[in-house]
Amino acid sequence: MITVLDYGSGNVESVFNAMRRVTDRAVRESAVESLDSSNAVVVPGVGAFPAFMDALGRLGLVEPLQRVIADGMPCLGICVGMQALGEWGLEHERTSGLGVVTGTVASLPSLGVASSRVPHVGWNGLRLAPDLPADSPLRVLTDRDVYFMHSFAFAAETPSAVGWTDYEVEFCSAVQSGSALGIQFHPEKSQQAGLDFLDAWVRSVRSL
Amino acid sequence: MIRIVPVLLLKNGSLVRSTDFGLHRVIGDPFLQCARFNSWLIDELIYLDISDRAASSRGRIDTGNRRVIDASEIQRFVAEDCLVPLAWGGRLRSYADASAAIDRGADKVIFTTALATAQGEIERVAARFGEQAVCVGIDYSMRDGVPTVMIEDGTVAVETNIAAWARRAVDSGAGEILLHAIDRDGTGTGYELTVLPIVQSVSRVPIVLLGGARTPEHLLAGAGSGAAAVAAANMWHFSDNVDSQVRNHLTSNGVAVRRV
Repeated sequence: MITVLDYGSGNVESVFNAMRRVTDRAVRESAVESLDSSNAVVVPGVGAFPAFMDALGRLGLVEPLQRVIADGMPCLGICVGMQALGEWGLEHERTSGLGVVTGTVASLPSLGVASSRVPHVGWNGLRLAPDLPADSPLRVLTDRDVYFMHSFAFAAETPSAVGWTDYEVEFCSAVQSGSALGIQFHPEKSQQAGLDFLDAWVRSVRSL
Repeated sequence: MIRIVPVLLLKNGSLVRSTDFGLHRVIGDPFLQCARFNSWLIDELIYLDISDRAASSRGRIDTGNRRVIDASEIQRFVAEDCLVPLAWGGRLRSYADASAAIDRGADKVIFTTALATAQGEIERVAARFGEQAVCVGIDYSMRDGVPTVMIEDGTVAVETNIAAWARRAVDSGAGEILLHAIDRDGTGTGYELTVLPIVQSVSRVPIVLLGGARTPEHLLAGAGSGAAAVAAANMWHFSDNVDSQVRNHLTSNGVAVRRV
């Protein structure tokens, strides 16, 4: 069973529908019990990092998520769901995320995006870490573009970075730590490339 | 990389095409069209609800005699199966309207008249969902050579300083502007390109062009103007490989398009 974490808003529906196109084992749940009995979890997220962590907190999901990830449950964090694996730093404001990866989310202009339009909205590609395993689901995205829609990102030098995207400067668009994979793009909005990625991730879950 | 964005106009339950921004001809069923676009090589979809009544009932044969209660049903159906980003606009006047659209699966909401009548609501939506979820539509008409911002489906002039209006949009939390030359609607004469630089100079957000594009050459001109995305309504409906034609024309003229 693969739980698509329903934190109550945003893109949960789209992610769930996309998952259903590639697997019949996806469920949409917010209960901790469901998380505990899952084989894998997808954490979708849009909007602001602090608000997302608030929603997870109100549902009592922060510690359970940290626990199942630490126990090795495959976890796919999407957009703010990826950022939440790290922490949020915005000038004088810092919000803790799940602490799964070491990384601080910052605004694109502060990362060096000076003359391009912000937010970064549109299709773009990933450069993958050379030592990424051959069976990493990210590899199906070689020479293909996926959809980004964000104003904040992890810096390129983030430890645990396994993928980078060039938008005037390079930022980190994919992180991996243990069984947790975080992606900045939206596979549920990336037509066939996105479905192929989700399919590859689901197959990688089966083999773990 | 330019984004190619079909615009679907929804009026009282049917897809329509516009001629002269006010006259509409029914061309199809929104349910069937969305499935079609899932397999097209386009980059985003915009649905604009230009209905003049909130509810409509239908019993057309090609929908299997489905009865549509209101646009929200269409919204939910469209969003359920949409594999590209979906922006929903038209008749959104409050945080509640936008929140409902997003809950039904829209990735972005488009506010146009609301920038005049409910600016605070736009701010709330941006604060809650992020500015990347908020697009502000700026409809403009040339009056004595002055680009004049119009609201209420192009019937009420609200501002003659379009730069100031664009700043107002961005200050309200817009993460994107849909710049719509309503004089060009349905004319097939190509984009109006003189106003884009004015709006670009006062904001950092991506700008989407709309109004008058009918051919791949028009979209190429739009791409070359520096817009982030080129949107068009009517051109997609009357032949079957417009997406390939557009992509090929852009690519062969040196414009990068999405790699599939």
